[in-house]
Amino acid sequence: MKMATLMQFLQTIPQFADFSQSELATFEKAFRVDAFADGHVFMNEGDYADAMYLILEGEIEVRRRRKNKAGYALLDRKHTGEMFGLLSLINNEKHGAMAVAVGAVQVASLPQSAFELLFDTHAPIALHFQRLVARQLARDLRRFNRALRAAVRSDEVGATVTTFEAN
Amino acid sequence: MNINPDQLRPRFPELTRHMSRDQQLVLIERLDPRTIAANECLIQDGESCDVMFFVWTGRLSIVLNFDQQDLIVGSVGPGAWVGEIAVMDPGAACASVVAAEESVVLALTTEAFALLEQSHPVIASLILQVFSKEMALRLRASNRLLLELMSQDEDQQPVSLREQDWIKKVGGHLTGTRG
Repeated sequence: MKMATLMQFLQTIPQFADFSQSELATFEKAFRVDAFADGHVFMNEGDYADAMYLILEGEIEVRRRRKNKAGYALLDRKHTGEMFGLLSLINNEKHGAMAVAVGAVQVASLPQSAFELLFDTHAPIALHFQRLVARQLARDLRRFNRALRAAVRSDEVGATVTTFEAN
Repeated sequence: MNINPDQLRPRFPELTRHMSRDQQLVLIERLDPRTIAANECLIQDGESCDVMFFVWTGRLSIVLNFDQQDLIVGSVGPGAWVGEIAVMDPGAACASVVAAEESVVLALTTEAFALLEQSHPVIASLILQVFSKEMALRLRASNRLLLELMSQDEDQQPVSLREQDWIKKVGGHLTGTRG
């Protein structure tokens, strides 16, 4: 995907509707666009964060190793227009989960240094970016809350978490 | 009810850590103090919500409504806040919030926050950073909680979820609740 196409893509995502043309252009310069094959691991549990990602096309799974047992728990699925890799960057911690491509995916990545520049300052573009991040986190929490609520309603963990064996 | 920065800062140290006195005064102007009677409902499970509450005094219960049964899954007191998810991303609430006793809360609506973003972007930015860090911590804790649940399931005899201790932690994860 070429840079101009990234701009067009951002314009189609509702979350970017508040951004001006110049702000979108700044994003274009800060993000790097790459394509990845099925199974690509964007981040591993225990690694320090070095970037966050915006999915332009495709799907990724957020997985976590199961305690005292082989295989992984599927914690979340993220699709086109969603961001991942935020938690570790925001609180400067190691990744608590891994993120894996499911099928071919195209993502735009924002390096940690650029993230910090946008997230920790008070420039107008920073405010828009902070809102974007906060909205993504709020949606993630809302999704988790609904799943957790469904688990309590059905009275079983399986309603919340899918597990599968390691390859 | 008059609130000043000297009262606000010790009550909400994280929120006000990087705010000047003047910025805190601006924030106080946007907050709507409300006295809530015991058993009064602030947020109704499943209904649209576009307001969050900072707890000034008293105690709020987090309640899940299942059919005819209410399940209290936690409570929050002074210095905590509930419902920031609704301000960041308005939608249906995932739990009810009910006053466990007479309480005073400071309400901040989605509209008031949007106006704050326009008129005082630096203050809005500081608030967004605090909320984001809090939500990130909660998401990480939520992931851990799920893993704990799974390992319990694998290692122990099945026990009703509603009878396990972990249910007490759920309140900290619902409707933007912390504490």
